[in-house]
Amino acid sequence: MHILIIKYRSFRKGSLQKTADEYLPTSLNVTDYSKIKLSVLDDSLITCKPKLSDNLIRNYSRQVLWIFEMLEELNLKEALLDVDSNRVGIYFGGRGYVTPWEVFVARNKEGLSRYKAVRFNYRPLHSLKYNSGMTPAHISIHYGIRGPTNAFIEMASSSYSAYEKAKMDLNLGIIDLAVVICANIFEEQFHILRGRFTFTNYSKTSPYDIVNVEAVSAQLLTKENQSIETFEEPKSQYFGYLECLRKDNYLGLKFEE
Amino acid sequence: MKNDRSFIYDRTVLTPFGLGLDINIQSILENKSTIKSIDRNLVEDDFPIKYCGQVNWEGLGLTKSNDSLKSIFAIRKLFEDIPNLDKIDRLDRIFCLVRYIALSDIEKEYKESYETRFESRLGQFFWEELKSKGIQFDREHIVHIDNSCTSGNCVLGFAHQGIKLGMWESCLVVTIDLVDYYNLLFLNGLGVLSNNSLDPQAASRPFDKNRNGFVKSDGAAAALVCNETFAKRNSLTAKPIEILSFTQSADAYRLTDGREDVESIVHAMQTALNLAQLKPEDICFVKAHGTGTKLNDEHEAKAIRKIFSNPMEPVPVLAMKGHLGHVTDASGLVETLIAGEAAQGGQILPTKNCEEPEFEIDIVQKPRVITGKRYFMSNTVGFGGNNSTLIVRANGENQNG
Repeated sequence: MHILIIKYRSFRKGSLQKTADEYLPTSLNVTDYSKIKLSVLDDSLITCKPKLSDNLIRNYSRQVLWIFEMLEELNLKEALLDVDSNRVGIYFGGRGYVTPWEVFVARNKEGLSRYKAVRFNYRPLHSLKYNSGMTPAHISIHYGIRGPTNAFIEMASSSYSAYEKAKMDLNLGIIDLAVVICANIFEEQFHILRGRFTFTNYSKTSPYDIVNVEAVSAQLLTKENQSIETFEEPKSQYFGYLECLRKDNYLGLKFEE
Repeated sequence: MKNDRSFIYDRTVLTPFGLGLDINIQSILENKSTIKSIDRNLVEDDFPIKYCGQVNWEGLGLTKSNDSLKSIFAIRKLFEDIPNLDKIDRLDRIFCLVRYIALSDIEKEYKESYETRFESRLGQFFWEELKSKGIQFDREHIVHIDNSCTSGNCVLGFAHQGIKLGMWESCLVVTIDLVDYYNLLFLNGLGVLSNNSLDPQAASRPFDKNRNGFVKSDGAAAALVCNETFAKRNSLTAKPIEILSFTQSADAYRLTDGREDVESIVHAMQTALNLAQLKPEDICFVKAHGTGTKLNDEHEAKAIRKIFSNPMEPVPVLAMKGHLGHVTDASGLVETLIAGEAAQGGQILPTKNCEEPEFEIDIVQKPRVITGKRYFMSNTVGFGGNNSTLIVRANGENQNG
């Protein structure tokens, strides 16, 4: 049985070149992080905000906002009209995180003596952000998707695992439509340090050769014999998708100021 | 679709009670609890949480100076407790959940413990540890899942689904979630931790009227899931537990509490029964998630009543968090393995601290003997509105005779 990618979208355009020292504290006297290049998405290009309430924008992270931006472009709401929401699954490859500021505010909320200061506005939902499963949960809540929601965090192979699990659920007949989302967004400093640690000991690549790039991508998958009339774009095969991903995200790395 | 059957052969757990299933079952039958006063080295003096369940690491042989290696040490201990791991020719896949929190005290902690707590490092460790035991891999297959409290059930369920589809023959499933300062901080920020009991042993009270939250606890588990062909080829001798079905659903409501109508929990449970081709009356007990929080227990009890609606034959319900505390992400696997092992021996384990049950469900207060078929249901209901259900058969038969 073939699995079809019925729609896909990925964001890398509009990215800005930055260096890691802009993200790392100056007191961390280890390496010259200005040599590590980063490519980050330009948040001013997010257009989905007017569709969300102020409360949601405050609680959503950059990662979730970029994912919504993509799903809005995919017109997911329209695609969901013809499908039973219990038979739609979300498969996310990416990370959860908390920022140092959120940790500080959580400690401040507990009234711990070291962190006593003026009380900051504590949002309990930030507490769950370290769990990467919360990102697909946000999407499930926003779009009313009630099938399986899964998160995979395995560095570069996260997206592959998310895709494979979606394929499994389609083949098992558990779902009719899979929303596969992959994201690499820098939210906290460890993300950048992680790249450095990972590429030094075990791989032949120097950390300075790797350009860590922010990117998000989403695909809607269904079975070959599934007819969903809402989609107008021609259907492409799985292998077509892989080739496309390689061209877009791996080979064509160029910075755009 | 190949439609192979999947079995859990070798399995073990590590909790504050100790390493291995026997010691855990024995402690639960003796009505002990793992919950004690918190180690003040872990948190600030004025940290509001007083209790948690912590493994006696020094007793297991881990020195204080190597504290940051707890995860790796725990995994090594689990692997040592799976005797047949040396016998296995090759493994198709490893499903793992090793709780990882993005550390934020960058200046203080990155040198000390960052590398060891980073999930891909642990993946590397898995490789080295398993390769040293002579296990071969065709290609890299370490899948790391993070689905909040449902992760434990999910790793087992995914292993089952791949075997059913004929995608692989064997999986090693590992979950570990240890008490961590950040985890305590964030969970307390949500207001889900129990904090008003004077007695740590009575702090976690699933399905009780006086419940007020859960108590975080250390825990880890590992299991070898495979099909019959693999078990025969490697002469596995343990009494297998069969996984019959696995389902997931989402509330799509709020991150921290479920829908009043409990539809999605009911959907997961009913679909699991349908996939296993069983009726509610075939199930001999339900291993509930039973966190001891106000809403979670209420919703789960409601869902159990909807599925097992015959008032003449109420299904026995057990929740282990009174004994074990909440191992959060690893709880599904830890509890399913303990409940499964007890069911192999024909027993339903009791629930601790449910002195005044709030809901009209049949909570198992004292150990019971299973008389009929040994099918049981294992539920997890997690943050983010994730629900998952496993149907398991503990029939006590060895497939290899």
